[in-house]
Amino acid sequence: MRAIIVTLIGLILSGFSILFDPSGEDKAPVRVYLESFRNAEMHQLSVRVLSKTEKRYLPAAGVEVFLYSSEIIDSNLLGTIVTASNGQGTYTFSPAQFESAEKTKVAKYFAVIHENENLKGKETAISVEDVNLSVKYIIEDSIKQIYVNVTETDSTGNTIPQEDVQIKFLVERPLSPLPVGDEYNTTDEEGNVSMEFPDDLPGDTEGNLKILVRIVENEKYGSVEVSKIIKWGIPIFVSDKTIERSLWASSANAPIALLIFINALILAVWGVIFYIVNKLFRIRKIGI
Amino acid sequence: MVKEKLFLNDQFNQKVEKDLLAHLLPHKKVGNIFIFILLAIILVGIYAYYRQLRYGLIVTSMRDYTSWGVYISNFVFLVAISLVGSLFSSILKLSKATWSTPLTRISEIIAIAAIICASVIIIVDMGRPDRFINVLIHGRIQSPIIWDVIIITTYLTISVLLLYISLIPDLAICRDKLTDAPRWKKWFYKVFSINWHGTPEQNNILHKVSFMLSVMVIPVAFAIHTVTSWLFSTTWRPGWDSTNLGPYFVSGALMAGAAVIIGAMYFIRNALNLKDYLTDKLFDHMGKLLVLLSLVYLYFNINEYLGPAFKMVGVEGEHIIELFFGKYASMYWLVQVFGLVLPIVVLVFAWGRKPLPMLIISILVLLGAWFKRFLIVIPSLQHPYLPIQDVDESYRHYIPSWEEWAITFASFAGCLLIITFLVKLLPVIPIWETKKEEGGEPKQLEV
Repeated sequence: MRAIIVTLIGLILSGFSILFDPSGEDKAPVRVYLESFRNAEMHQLSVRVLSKTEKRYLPAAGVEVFLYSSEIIDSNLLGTIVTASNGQGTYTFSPAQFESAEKTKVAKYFAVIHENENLKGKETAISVEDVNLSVKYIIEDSIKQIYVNVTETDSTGNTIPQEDVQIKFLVERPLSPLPVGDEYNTTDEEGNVSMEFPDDLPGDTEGNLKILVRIVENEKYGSVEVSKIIKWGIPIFVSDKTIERSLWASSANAPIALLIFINALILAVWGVIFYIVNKLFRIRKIGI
Repeated sequence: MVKEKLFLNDQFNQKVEKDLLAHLLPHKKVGNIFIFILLAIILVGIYAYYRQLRYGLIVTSMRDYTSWGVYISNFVFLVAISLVGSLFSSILKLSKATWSTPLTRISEIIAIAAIICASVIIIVDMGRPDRFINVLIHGRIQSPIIWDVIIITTYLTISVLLLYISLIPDLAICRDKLTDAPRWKKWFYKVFSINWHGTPEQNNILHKVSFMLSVMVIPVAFAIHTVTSWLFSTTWRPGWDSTNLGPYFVSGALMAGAAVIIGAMYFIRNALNLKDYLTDKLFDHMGKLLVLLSLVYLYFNINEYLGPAFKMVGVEGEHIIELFFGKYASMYWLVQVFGLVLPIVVLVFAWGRKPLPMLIISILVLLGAWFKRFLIVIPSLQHPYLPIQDVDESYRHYIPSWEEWAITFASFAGCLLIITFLVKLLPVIPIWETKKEEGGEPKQLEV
């Protein structure tokens, strides 16, 4: 009898506990966006996580995201990332993972967020197909031209041109790449697209530019980049301000006038201070 | 006739000594509860700083935009307060304003306390204080930050000398008269009175070095706050790109310094029963001085805001709108009205220059001065000329964290603790100079 009463009370309390349990209803739904970026040197997966806060989806910081290839099993775990304050995080494949991914014709990747006390669980997947992005840099009649050809290779080894693929042309710059040419460049039925490269872009001291040709956020391929350093820029003269005497130079190259002025002031003021301290010793000596 | 004068001098001098040494007697336990409260505030500040050291500057609300927060505004405020030492020990002394003599010691003590706390706050503002030594080893002489380090060190040294030199004869009086003092205090008075007996030769040297210091402290004091203003005016932000900033800072500092002296006068006069020395007449003089300094500061304030407000150029205009009508408008107008205009209006009348109204006005001026520094530092930082794209929303706002407030209050408590300690250790009104000025020449010279 006693056991029955205890069980009944337990059931009633557990039923009511739903009303007070902060978990469940208070957990925010999340959205996860996964993108792939590849070039000759690396393969990255970029994750963006949004969580619902006050009826709006806002970037979710500090969320741990598990990344898998092919299927969601422990042995296929690529790695984990934690989102930054903008809700984003990037995972770079290790050399072994990169080599393995390069050999795969169609790869599938998963981003998984496990349910926790604040967020609901969520998973998302993308498929990334292999693509051939060949680029030629040619000067014809003093005009710099970039020719791009996009193809796929089928199972028998034949190349199939890919039509309507968006291509972007960029030049690497210190903060972010500089777009050049038209904003939208689409391949024709032969998989070809070309652009006339501007000839007034400043390069490095030798005129080198790093030109980036990208398929950007394509449904089949993700983002794919081919880059090449080529002497198509205008060589610039770099004056090394750090070795000239100036206000913005290194400490060893401060302007002479400034050095004289400041040191003279320091010597004058501290000279008087030491003179006064010396006089205090004199007062002490007189009083003995 | 000579004998009669000597007798009167003796009577007066004995009274002066008795009154001004009274608070140093062993049975006087002045302000122990006050010290306990200050220590408690400092302990909370130390805990907050421990958290900042352990977890980094992320515990503060400072981010990429507002990278100078309440610490730097507090630093500017404390540097401003420290200028009071030069005002009394130098400017008023050299201009023969003898009424200010009872206030020189207090002003020098406050100057030292403020500049020590300002130096500590700068270290607190550093994410990696262990690397401070690198500023000295690898610092660039072209940088205003290095100028600030040099000038703060120099000003602190001169302020200590200013206090000490005027103290030597008083320390000798303490040595000779306070025979019941604790042993450590007697040792202190004996060692630091450096065998002072007031011989003509000692007097001559003391007068000479005192005069030299009084002259030298003026450019150094002006430099310390001008260089602090250059930290801002050499940084490319709206509101700081002004040739007016140096004198604007110096005049504001002198005004805040005069206010802090009035507050100190009020509390010291009541706590130590010094109404015969810190008289109503002295409050009247200080009131008139504060009006003068406030008018000068008002003039520079108009100069500072009129030009940009007339032109309203780009980000500079946005900054002005934010101050005049935006999210900082209430703070800005409260500071200008209650911290600047109201004190001028009240202190113009004789009733406003009585001790209690003066205390209230000085508190308003000090609150205004602190929040004015906040308004100089924070809103400008939230309007960079090159904003970050899609910047995190938290970068656009700045509300100090509890750790920042705790450390800021601890700096005030530290400042007050240093002042309290020195007031309990030293004659707070110069005995030697009071005797000389009101009781005739010092006996040794007259004989």
